[in-house]
Amino acid sequence: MIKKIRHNVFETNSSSTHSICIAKDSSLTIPKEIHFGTGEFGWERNSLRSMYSKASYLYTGLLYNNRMTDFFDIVGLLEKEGITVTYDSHKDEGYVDHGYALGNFLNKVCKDKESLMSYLFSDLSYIETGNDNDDHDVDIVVDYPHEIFYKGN
Amino acid sequence: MKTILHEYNNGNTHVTILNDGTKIRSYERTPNILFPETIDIKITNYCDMGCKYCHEQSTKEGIHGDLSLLLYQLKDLPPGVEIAIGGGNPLSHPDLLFFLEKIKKQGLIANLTVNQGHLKSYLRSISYYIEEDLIKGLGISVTNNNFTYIKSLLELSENIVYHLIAGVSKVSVVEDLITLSNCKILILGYKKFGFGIDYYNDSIRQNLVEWYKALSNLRGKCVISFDNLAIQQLKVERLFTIEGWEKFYMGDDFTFSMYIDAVEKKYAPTSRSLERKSFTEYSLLEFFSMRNNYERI
Repeated sequence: MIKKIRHNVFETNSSSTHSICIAKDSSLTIPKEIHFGTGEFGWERNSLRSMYSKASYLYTGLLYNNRMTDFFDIVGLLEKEGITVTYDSHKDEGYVDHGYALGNFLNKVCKDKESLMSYLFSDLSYIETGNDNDDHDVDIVVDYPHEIFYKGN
Repeated sequence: MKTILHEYNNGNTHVTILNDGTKIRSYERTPNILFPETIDIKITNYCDMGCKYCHEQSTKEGIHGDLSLLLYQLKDLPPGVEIAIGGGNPLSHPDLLFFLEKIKKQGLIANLTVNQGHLKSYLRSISYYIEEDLIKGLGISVTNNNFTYIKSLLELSENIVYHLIAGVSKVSVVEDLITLSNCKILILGYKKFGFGIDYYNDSIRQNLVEWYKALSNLRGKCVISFDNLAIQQLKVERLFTIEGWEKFYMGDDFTFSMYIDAVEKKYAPTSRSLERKSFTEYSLLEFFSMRNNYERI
């Protein structure tokens, strides 16, 4: 049985007639543990928002660029923060489309602890994947505060 | 104390609505429903507020809808369906009381959205609608920091929701609103529709950024809800776990909801839809059954 719940409000919306509710606390959410898995990040349009998917994107990008030393630095840094780190040992399974173009992004999160923590644990951070061939119709375009790492393709 | 206001079956779904507005929708696999759970209805295009971004393009020259004809369109809906009544200024419609009495008798849940700027002039009418249980939810489009009349209404109802428009409303007004008892806020997306097309400008874009940045810090302070447009424009999904999103996201527009322009006598998926169908072409349920053939808006 699937349940959907709208909490505490009647439908008063005089426009698009729907609401969801947030009722929990948040800021930078530091977990007790984090797993870096490998993943397939092709050219399809997608939005990576969960900690797991962002960690996977980072790990797969580092593997693609043979930057395991940087990865172990990250592991050490996270463990100092009290976070238990696990990661996939099957290092050949992941893929990032045009992963060679991730240099700026990887440099930033590997060398700047604040950027790393924000990237992994802030709900304001996310990765948009896609390609230049998309015909993506967006009604309103706003440049929200984030750092852009243009990967070239 | 929470009590059940209505319970009904709709196709393969079961809906329970509590007296505080909570709605619980249960189903197996995929919901397959026969009638809308909520209908957004514009009953008049008359309004003297002159909001430059009004997506309904309501003005002092606007005319009222025929509410007897509207009641006929609603006749097949069972008790428990929610009707979100708006305008224009719905309080200016001379037949509003008649309409509210009729739909209460039918068992429909009437919710009314008004502009804060009209509270002083219509305080007695609104109070009467609440006291006579003619409306359940009251939405107030907040336009200033004078909460005198809101406080009067809060003594009568706990089901008041403050409407704020991302792109227009100042983020800081939330801090003022949460000082009120039982604060509930609905954040609406900016509608690039109607007057909102020409009014769209850099300050709106900047205000959207402010809302985007502020959302995380608003959590836990009060009940905050969003319409689908705000969800899209402010990327609200980022604030949820996957499990939380699946539980709380109530569905795309025109999945469980629809829109009626009683002035033009037309149905549409939402108030922003260009493609609309006349009352004379289809019944309400016939129109709603066409939703799978409409492009999502």
